Amino acid sequence: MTSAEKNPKKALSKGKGSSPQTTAIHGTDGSTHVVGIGNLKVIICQDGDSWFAQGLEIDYAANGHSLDEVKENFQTGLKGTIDLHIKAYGNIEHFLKVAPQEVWKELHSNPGRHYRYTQVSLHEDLFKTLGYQGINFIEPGQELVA
Amino acid sequence: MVKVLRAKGVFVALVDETTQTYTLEKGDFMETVVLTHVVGKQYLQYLKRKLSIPVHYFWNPEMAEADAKSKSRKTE
Repeated sequence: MTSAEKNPKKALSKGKGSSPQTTAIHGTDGSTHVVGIGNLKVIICQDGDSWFAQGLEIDYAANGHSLDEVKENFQTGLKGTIDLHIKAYGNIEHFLKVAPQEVWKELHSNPGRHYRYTQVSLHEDLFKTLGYQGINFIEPGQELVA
Repeated sequence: MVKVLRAKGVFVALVDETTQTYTLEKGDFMETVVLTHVVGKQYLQYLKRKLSIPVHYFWNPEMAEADAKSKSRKTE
């Protein structure tokens, strides 16, 4: 498992044999978060007129009109979802859920394309970076200090 | 698509109009997704599994809205 300098988080699953291990790391200095997803297995298959991508070690899916578009949508969505979770919880633990067994079975029996996907993303906590401390509610009668 | 999600209690917010990127939130579920004009069955099954929205509602958005209305009337 790779680790970040501070606050390293857990690996997702152990690979078997020569299969590369899927990892998820999360490091933060308090204001900037670095999230790395390594060797995530994604199965992409044609679904009628569109394409469908399903992550296996992380239960996240995307849709697209073409193979390239579904890959792009998967990447955009995954990064955005990580961002949402960091803003809401300060970590990605709620997001690190493996796809259910039936999804693995169904997609493995499907003649779809199998990909290994890796991304590293930076997520700034803008409030801390810019020094904002939230909303200051001023009650009537209070004097404003410049 | 957005109508059905909203009718079924999902908080939907547009993040980027050009890419049609939305955030979807309902309970513990929180995702950023790109909603394309044509959505396949597999993706609808995924939304059903995650958000408990019957797939047929996406073909009949009026049913989802009617269902939401009748439920709100019952609780009144």
